[in-house]
Amino acid sequence: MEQSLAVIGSHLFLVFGLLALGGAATMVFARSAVHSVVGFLFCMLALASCYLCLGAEFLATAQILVYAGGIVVLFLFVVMIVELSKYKEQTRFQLHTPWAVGLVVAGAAAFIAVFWQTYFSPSAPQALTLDPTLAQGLDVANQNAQAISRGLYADFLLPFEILSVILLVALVGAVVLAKAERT
Amino acid sequence: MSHYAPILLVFLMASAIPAVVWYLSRLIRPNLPNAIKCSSYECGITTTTEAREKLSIRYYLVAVMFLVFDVETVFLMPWAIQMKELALFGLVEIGVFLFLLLLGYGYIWSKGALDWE
Repeated sequence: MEQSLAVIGSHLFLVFGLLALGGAATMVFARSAVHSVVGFLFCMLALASCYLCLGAEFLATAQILVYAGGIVVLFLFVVMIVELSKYKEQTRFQLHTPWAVGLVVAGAAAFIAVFWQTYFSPSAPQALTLDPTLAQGLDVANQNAQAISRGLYADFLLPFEILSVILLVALVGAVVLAKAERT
Repeated sequence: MSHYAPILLVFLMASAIPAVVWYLSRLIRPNLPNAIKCSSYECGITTTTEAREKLSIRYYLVAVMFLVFDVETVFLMPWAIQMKELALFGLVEIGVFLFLLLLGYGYIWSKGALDWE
């Protein structure tokens, strides 16, 4: 019992990864849009747990704050606002199915390749981590938020500032679209 | 990592309790469905329309605005914990970041997106 628990504990990443996949599958295949959103929420929480397993605590917190908190609410609002019953009989969403399937297969193949390389190949490369120079002088296991901070505010300064422009575009876009709806 | 075990335990227990209670109540309760019992509950009044109907776009606008400023706050946190090390450089950087979002705030304010009219 204790041994099997220890084995599960050392493979928690896999467990949560599979849970995330289950949530994602629920999201895609659920008939009701609200069930889809719940599947999405489950997937995002499992992903946050995956980040915790990798020792990225800040990322896990941000994941819960932004995705499980904000994005899920946004999706629920979309479900509320859009009258979905109208689209039930329409085929307009099915036009792109072949493309979507092709993209999903390609993405899944790439993901499985990376997964295989990281887990099972004899010369398994190091797991994806932050640039080690960013973490100099830091105990990354306990100070990963500081390491992220250095990466974000020192090395990737321009992308960070561009990010604020993207947020600005999202704000302005939402207001413009909502205004157009009202007039 | 192991100090997150209590959180996992709480999470598991919190998920288990409703499941167990639901299953127990299902075992105990009588099961006599009829049309009225199976209809959706709307404070005791007979339901008039479906739950799915068009709602005002303003809800969506509020959600998007919340999300944008939520993300902004998340990005303030890594800056705050390294504030002393990043010094003036970091302060200017976060200043530019905040200024750009403040522009957006001014824009939505001037457009009246914050009013619930």
